[in-house]
Amino acid sequence: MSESLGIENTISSSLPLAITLIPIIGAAAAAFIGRYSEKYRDYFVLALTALVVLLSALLLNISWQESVVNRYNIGFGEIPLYFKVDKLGAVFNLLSAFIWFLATVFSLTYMTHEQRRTRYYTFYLLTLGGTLGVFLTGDLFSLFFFFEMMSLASYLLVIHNQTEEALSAGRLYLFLGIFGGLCILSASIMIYWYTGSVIITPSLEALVLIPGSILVAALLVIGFGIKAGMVPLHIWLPKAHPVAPSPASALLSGIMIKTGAYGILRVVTVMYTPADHEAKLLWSFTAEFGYIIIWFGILTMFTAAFMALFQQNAKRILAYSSVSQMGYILMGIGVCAYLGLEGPMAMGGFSLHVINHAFFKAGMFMMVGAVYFRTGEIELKKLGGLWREFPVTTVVFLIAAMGIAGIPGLNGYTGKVLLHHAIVEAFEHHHDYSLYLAERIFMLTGAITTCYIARLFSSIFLGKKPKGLTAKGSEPWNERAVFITIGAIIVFIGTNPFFVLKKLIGPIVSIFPFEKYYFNYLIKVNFWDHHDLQGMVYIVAIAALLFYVGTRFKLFELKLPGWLSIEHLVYRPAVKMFTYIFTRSGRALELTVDGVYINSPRLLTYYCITGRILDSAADYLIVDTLEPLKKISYKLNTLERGGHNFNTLMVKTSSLLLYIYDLWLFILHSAFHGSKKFFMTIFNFLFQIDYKHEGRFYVLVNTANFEYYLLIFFMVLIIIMSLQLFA
Amino acid sequence: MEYEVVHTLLPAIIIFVPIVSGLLLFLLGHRLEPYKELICIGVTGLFFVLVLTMYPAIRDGKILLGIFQYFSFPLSVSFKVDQLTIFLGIFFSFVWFMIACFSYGYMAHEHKKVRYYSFFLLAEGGCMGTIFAGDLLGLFLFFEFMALTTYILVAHEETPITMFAGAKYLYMTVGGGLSVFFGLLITYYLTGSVVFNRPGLITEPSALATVAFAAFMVGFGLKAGMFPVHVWLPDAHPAAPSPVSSALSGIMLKTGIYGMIRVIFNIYSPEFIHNADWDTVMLIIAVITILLGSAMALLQDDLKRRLAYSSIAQIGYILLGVFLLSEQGLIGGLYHLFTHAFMKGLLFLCAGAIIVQTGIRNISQMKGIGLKMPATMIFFTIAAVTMVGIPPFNGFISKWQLSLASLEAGQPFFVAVLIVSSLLNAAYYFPIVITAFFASESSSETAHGHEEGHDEGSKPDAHGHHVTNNQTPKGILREDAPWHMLFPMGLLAVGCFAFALMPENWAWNLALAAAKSLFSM
Repeated sequence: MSESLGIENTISSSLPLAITLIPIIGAAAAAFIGRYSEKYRDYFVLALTALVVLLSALLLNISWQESVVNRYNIGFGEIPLYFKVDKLGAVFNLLSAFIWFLATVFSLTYMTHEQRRTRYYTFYLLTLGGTLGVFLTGDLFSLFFFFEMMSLASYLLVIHNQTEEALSAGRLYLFLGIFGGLCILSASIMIYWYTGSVIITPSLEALVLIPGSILVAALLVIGFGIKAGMVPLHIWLPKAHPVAPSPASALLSGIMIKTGAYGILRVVTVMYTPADHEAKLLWSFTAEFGYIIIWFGILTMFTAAFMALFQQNAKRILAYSSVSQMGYILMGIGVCAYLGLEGPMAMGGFSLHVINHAFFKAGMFMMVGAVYFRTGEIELKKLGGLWREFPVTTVVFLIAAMGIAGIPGLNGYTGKVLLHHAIVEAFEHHHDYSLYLAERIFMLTGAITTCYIARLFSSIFLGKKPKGLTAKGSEPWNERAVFITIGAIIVFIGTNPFFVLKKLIGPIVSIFPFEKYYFNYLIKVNFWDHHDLQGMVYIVAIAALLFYVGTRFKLFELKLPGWLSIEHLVYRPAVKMFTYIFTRSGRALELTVDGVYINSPRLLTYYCITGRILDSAADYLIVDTLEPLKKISYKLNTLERGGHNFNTLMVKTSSLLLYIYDLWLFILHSAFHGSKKFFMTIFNFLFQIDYKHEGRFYVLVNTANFEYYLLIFFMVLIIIMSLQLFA
Repeated sequence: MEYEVVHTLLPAIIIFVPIVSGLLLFLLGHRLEPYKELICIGVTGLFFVLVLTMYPAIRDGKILLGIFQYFSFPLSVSFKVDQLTIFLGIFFSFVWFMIACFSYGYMAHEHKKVRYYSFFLLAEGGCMGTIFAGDLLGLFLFFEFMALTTYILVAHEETPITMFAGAKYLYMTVGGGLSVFFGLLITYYLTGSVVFNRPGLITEPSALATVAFAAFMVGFGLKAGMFPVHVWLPDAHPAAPSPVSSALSGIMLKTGIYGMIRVIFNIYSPEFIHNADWDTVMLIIAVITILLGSAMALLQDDLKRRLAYSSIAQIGYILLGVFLLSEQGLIGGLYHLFTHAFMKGLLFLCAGAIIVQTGIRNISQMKGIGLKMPATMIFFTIAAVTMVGIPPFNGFISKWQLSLASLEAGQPFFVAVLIVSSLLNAAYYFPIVITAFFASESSSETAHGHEEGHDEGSKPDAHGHHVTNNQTPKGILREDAPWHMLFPMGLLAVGCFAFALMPENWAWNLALAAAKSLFSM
């Protein structure tokens, strides 16, 4: 096995396309079937997800020997859809399909008390197609394609209840999702243009030559980090996950946020690594990149765990817990990049923790959902003492809770041991003391995790039952089956870590070009080392102390001020400010331009006014020049009293002239009018135009007297022919 | 690549099909009154088929050319069909056809239908004539013809608001026409010809050449809705009947862009424009157009007004692609031109369907309208998603191509503008969809079981049998637009993504051939 480290053989298969297409087509089919029968729709969705699980298992089987590669040209200009499945992708694919199947089984009963079931199942399947596509693609472009599909389709799952709260959470989810998608898109455009390919393969040599390569890397991390719930981009997650129906929250938390981590993994530990392993300078770039991711991971795990302590809503605790656990996963990625070729331990920890988290977090969301389904309560205060009504749920929840807390013998422990080894290795290799601090915070977060999960468990299932809390019916068989399956897997991984490491994690890690020495180190790791067990004892001790202090002084019921959140401190004011400035300046510009046009006729008015002023000026001028004449005539009049006859003569002459002028006008008028009438008559006579009194125009040309045209035609013909005689 | 020129009158005859039938319909209105819709749909459909018949010849690398000598006038009017023309011709005539089909339902309750349909045909003739013209004179004549006939359509409703918007449109468009005419005169004075040529006619830089370029840009930019001369657009679109807004925004704005392309490539040449640095000015204007359109669209509550401002932003995309003056950019611009014709045409038709069925114009009143008119709003959603540019919809391809072209030109800034603008698109389209489908008003009991056309009236009873709840109306589509309105909308919606899903993107190839022909001729 270790001989073939990093060397891959490829095989072509249509299975990846089938796995992504079947749910997408199935979504349409489910919508159609749902119109006629609820029962058959449920069976259909169940069968479809089972089929996808089978196909995924088949794909895993194939990819265990060789990587599966296929291209489909679907008319996106120059870029085909490119599927490339290696062992990591195939395992995650099977994991997702399986959790989806479990959630479908759980949905059978859970969804009966929800409205709009057909819509739910349609977008449930569409989301499945998108999510599986993310794990199966081999280039950034196809990854983006499925990533966007998943984001948009899952929006419908988040807002399923359509309450005001769900809608506002959904809005945040949608716009951050689109924002993240656009970040990824712009980065992949840059990468495509400058390197000529977006295939996910070690290509740091080309990537560092991109102008603004840091920006491109940052855009990719932001884009995937939003989906992964990386602090400080996590703000949508604690809002969106609790409002969705429980099976959907299970999928959102169990699987979909992993796509973000998966994307970061592919970017940081694959794309941003040099193809030439000897390039020391380039490795330092990857290491720096990894170092930043480590700290984002640490920040994420600690702050989210801390926030989880103070939540009162069971699903919100789980949502914050998801963010916190994503911190562990991100830290694994960061360490892997930080150590470069020496990081198989981190890669192993990452893969194992993703698998573990998928099971216990999906399981816990469904179990809390089951409680909510039968009691109608989700607030911790109103719950309690339910172990009698939920025997199976209680046991499995305890197992999952202990799993997430990292109790030895359960699955969470194994992943955390690997991750802990990885961070210790990172510290020991470079002796960067900040990483020592990181390791301490890692341990402290473990304690906080144990504390909040203990609080969640005890307040739901233990203690006194509050008044008015009743659970309808008993646990349905399908819920029991799902929970027992999850519990069994958790226990199996926890008790057989060596088997899982050899058979599952080893092969996954072997596809990366790690150094063989460190790979063997991972394979031979001892889970039951006394240091690790001792660490767990400390963690539990600190957690117990925290829990005691917290419950004793009711610290957990403190309400953190809302304005303190990063959303209210940074994001909202920033977005508001941007929108305000942007729209206001746009409107000012628009109104100015519009005003110029609207007011431009005023220029015409000014033009007219100027004309009038000029006109009257000229008038005055003339009148003024005439004024002396007037005065003279006045003087003449006054001088010659006997000038009466002269005046009479002038008046008579002018009236005669006026009479002649009127006559002339009359003649002209009658001539024109008469001729017009005459011509009209002739015209009407000749052309036979029917005059419709009610219409405005001579609308109807009567073509009945066709012979008249013939006449004209012949006359013209005769004239032309006669002209020819003279020519 | 050499193109073989075939002299034929076919393009000219094709152009006069809608014009003559429009005139006949108008003159013989009383007699043809009962068949007016049929004539309009038939002629636009026929026109589409006729344009398609020219496609095989163009594909084989031929150019169709028909020249008419203008009597005692030194210029001739010619008709030319080349790769660019056929690309625009096919898609535009298809959208015209779809809009004509939609008009049947939309105009059913309107007055003066004969006038509407005849001027609809005349406007189509003018629009297609602009695109089929082989020289600047013909382009100008048809451009003016289209602009003036469209006025009748814009002012169709004859309310005071409409008359104001119409007057604004008319006066500005007349100004734009005069501006183009001015450029035409200077071109003729400088070169003695206005026939489209490659390399361009004007090759010597001079003050007059600059003035002519500015005049062309103002004239064509006015029609296209470019930044400082766009102000008629947000008034005219909401005032006009929806099919007309659809045609205005989807098609007629593009004739301005087409004129610009002809000016760049056939009057001047890209190198000339680049050397004179005019492209920088135009690119800045394009960016302002994008951002201004988006900013104003965010503020609007009237749906059609929001769509109108969105058109301005989208025209900015196309201008950006065209004025990058590279083959990549032109492909992006042309593809976006086609994309926008389909999606914006569809969006306006959806708005029209909503107005006809419910009388609602404002977005804030559209709560739960997606439940009443599921098909319409699904089409709207498709177009909105196309607008944001999410794969596999067409908008994604053009955005991708435009971004690559910007990077090729060494301008990553434009990529940022495109990305931000996409986000803004999402910010002003998705709330409409969300309001329509999921707004809180839908929590009422009757609306509950109904979502996107799936009837969930049947719920399993205790025994697992399915009982149909008779209280909820079975025909959920009852309030939706009738099938003859939904059908053209559906076809346009399919056009928004079908090409991207096919192994060979036919539209893409056409745009590619058009851009190649312009750069190689």
